[in-house]
Amino acid sequence: MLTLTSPKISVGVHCAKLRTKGMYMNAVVDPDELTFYDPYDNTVYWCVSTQTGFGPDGEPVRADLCNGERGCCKF
Amino acid sequence: MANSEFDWPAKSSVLGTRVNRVDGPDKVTGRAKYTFDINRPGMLYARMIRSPHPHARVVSVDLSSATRMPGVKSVLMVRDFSSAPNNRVMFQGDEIAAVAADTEEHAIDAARSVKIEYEVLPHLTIVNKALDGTAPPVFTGGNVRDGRPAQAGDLTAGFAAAAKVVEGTYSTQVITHTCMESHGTVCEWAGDRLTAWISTQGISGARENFASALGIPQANVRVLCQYMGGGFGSKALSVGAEGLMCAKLAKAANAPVKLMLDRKEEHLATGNRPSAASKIKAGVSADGIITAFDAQSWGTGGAGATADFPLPYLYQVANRSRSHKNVFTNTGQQRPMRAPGHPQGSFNTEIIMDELADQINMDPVEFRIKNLPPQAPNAMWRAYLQEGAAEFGWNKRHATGDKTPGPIKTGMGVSVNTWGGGGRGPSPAHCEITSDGVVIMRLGTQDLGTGTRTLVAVITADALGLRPAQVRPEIGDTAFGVSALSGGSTTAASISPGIRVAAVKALDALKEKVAPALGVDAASLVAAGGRIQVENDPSKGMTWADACKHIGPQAITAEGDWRAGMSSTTTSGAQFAEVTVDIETGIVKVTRVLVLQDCGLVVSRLTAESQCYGGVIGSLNFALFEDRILDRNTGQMLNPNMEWYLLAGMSDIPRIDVRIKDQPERGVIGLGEPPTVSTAAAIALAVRNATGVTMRSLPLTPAKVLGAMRQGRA
Repeated sequence: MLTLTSPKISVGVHCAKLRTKGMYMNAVVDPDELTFYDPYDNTVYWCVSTQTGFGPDGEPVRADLCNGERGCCKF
Repeated sequence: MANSEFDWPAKSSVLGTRVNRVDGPDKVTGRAKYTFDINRPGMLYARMIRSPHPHARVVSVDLSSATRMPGVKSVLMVRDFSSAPNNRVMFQGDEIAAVAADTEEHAIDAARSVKIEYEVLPHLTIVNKALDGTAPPVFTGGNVRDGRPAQAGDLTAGFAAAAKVVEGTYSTQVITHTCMESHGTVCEWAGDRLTAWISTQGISGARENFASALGIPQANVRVLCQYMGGGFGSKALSVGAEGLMCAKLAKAANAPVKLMLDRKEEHLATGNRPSAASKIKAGVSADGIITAFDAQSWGTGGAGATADFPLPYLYQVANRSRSHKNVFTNTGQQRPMRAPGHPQGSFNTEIIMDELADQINMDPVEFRIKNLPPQAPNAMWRAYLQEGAAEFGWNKRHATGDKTPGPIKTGMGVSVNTWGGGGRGPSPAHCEITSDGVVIMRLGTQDLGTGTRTLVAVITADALGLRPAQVRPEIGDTAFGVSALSGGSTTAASISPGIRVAAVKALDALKEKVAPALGVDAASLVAAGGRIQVENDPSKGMTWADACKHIGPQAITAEGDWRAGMSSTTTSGAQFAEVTVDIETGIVKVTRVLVLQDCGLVVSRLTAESQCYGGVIGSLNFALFEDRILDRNTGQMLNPNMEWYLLAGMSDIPRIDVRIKDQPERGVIGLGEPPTVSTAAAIALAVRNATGVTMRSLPLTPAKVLGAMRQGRA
């Protein structure tokens, strides 16, 4: 659940068109979760402009890829 | 938040009872309308045009012939492919264009007529080639990306303290969501206002996605999803290229458009559960404590998407190290799939647990109990393992390898699970009681098929002293208010408090209307058994129908929202499985599964049990049948259908006993994910117990079982 709820996208750092599931959910993180297993990250991203996991430039979208270095990034 | 009138009641007439689905009759009679069933006047039918190649450059696209085909009203490109780097397709099924026509057949014909010239590029679909560096460079920044490492304690000291060490490689396969209802949308414009019927796990999210993608205000978009035929996470994200193109085609054609995907598209382009593999070395002390756990893991989530999972899963290891690699392949991207990461983490962890237990001649249940976190309300595995072992007849389990004569061997396996499932607000609910006695509970959530309507009716009826059938739940329409998407088992915990608060407030208003007629104080009244009456004095009361006559022409309305203390987070569960294995054919038959599962306060017991049945069956499919098979040369999927993509039939379903463990003091917690985490590992361990051969890779096909037995791994 940590991976669903942790903020992955920062305003001003990441493209404003980048989306994750956690942005649309109301979830509560159990602080004990990190005693059950180590953090892991399987976040799925999509571009709100294309509605797919690829940006307008055809390349995959992720937090590490959509941080201002692509021509299609919007802030 | 104690001592509030909104608190869940200590005694309940409906909560936690076995209530039939309130929408069951509508579903079995066909009155329930799914997106597929929506038909609008003058509606067109649309099809997507997709790449047949896993990796290619689009040299040219000629839509002219399609536009001249009979009945065609609109043809649109998904994006501009005219220049690099935008002109690459990255997986088989990648979207290129879409067409709308007056009939489905005309749309299919037109889609076939689109002329696309491809320059086929070297593709990457074999994970090991990416890992060993022999794959072509496909992805910007590399084909492999490191995941988040984890390290604790002293691995060297841990292995030094071990009495025994086990090493192995474990893996689970890519599977697809295989929703009964495919992804799809019906879009209709009225000027700059869009109405979209879409099979989605989040109508409010779909509204935002449509609005942002189309550049219109959210207020101009209304999204409806009254019923849906399964999502399992694949419908929790965007509206998809198909949803967006449906809206654009409808706008361009100035007519409503229906765009439903076919089964092949479902397999290729609407998500999947990533593969998960690990090479693990673990040590155990003579008294059954895991002293060290060293893992290197990897997996593919498709083209540019991650594939991480928890490892080790649940068991406490002071000395551990784990590294992970996300491998990108030219395949459809992953999407969340029922308990994302947990079934993979469970399998990759649980198999080596039994191997370690065998090394020190310890019972697997006892070994697990020694290594689980301390017992707590959110960590009940120890109790469930002991209780489950007693009920399942675990003491009859033989040592690894069934020594009885004959080809049919039997075995038992066990595994544990957890999931958050906590929810919070905002999650507004609106209750109306009218003078004719009708109760409406309205909120902007949606029902994935899990029984949300029944949950709404149960909570409302319980608060009002009615039967669930007397409540009219209204959901599945953004006109009913904003709500979170249904994912991560968060819906029940998010919406239940607001429903009860709204119902209790509405009841308070009704009591105020009724009290003068009865000559009593409103605070002395209760709702029970279809009556409003003085508590413990039925003679001073009246029926619900008579009470509502005091409402007058203006209905009672009340609003509720989520309140802290009425819901909680984190479930515990344990599952036991029994199998038979025919060692001559390799066929595995699951004969029994026992589920022990908590979910806090049980709102609807039948619905909770249904979640467990569905979770077990889904995980049985994962264990025995499902597998996305790719051609090693072309990279294309070989089984994108329901014939060769295998799922369990009725005769494959075992006896499933569900024991829901009530924890009413914790409030409501979601239940969709956890029951599907454990079954696959328990089945694989039961096969190990039956055959004496450790199955370290899913699915457990007959060929794989026979192959493993030939190799004699144990």
